[in-house]
Amino acid sequence: MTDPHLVDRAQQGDLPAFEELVKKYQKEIYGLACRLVLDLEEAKDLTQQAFLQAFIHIRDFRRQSQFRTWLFRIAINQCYNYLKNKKKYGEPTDFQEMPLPSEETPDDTLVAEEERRRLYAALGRLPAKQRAVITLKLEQGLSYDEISRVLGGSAGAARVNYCQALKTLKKHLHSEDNHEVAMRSIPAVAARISRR
Amino acid sequence: MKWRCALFQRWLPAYLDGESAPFWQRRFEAHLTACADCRLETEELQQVVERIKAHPLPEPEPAFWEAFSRELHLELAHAVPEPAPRRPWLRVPYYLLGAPVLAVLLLWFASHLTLKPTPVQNAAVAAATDQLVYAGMDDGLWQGEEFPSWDVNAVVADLSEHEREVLLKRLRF
Repeated sequence: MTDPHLVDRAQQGDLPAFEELVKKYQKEIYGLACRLVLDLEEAKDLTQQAFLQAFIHIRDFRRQSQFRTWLFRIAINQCYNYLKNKKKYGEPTDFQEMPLPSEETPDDTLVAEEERRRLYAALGRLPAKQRAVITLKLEQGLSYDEISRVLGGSAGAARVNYCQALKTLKKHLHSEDNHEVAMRSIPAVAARISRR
Repeated sequence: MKWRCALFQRWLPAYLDGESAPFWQRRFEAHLTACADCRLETEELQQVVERIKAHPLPEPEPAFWEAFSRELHLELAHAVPEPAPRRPWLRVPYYLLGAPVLAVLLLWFASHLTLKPTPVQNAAVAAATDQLVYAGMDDGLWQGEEFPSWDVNAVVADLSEHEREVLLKRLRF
């Protein structure tokens, strides 16, 4: 069943139709929330809140954009509100809250996990809006026009934001990589000093 | 950084996505072959993009989604969608409402700007008419209660040649 049909039924109060929409988009919204708030448990709550808000206000949806874009906008607003409150009442954002798979892995997988950790750390240092634009572009595959509808502004502004976000991320990744190299070199330096 | 490089790097994401027009894509490629700095920047950004794509978020377990759906279902069952917002009867953008107002104002100004006879001109016209109709009244041409008529022939029928000449001379003023 297509989105417009499901939205029509949901607007008439059909809960199963809305739950079908939830199943269709829950992974995308959850992924976006994870990237924005960097906390899996909070991301789950915010995803549920976003769907709840969407259900309550489903009759306000006037099909001026896709339902998916409208959902992204609601989810991003929820995440921004959460981050604003978090900033206001302390508890700074910490990317370490993002748990990574902790299975027994061979060495090459461990290296990949280390790289993933550095990437997440660098993403965690980006401002929320830049994280949002990178996630929407690279993970959700939205066009600049759709990103501008979700985040506000023009498509050109979305493109410039995305470019700026990539450049900032590149800088953070360099600093994370350099930090890692420095940490690795410390035992070697220590060993050399001890040999003397 | 040269202005050409600044322009190129501004459009770099579109080039990386292949979203720019073929003409610009060729221009970018030509610039990349000539500019080592932009080539390095492009390669590094490309690596960042590939790195993000290579490390997607870990997929939650099916049990996570089951719990998610269960909790959300309970919340949705208690929620009631708000009624649709009442739409105004006339869905016209506000700036379009200004057009009729402007038209009315223009008409009002136009009606006031058209040349109206001034009081002085009115008096002159009235005086000329009086002079025309009642010409000769003070000269004793009209007797008693006799009232001047618009039928000129009837009025001048009784006059002598001399009186007619006098009357016509006065009427010419």
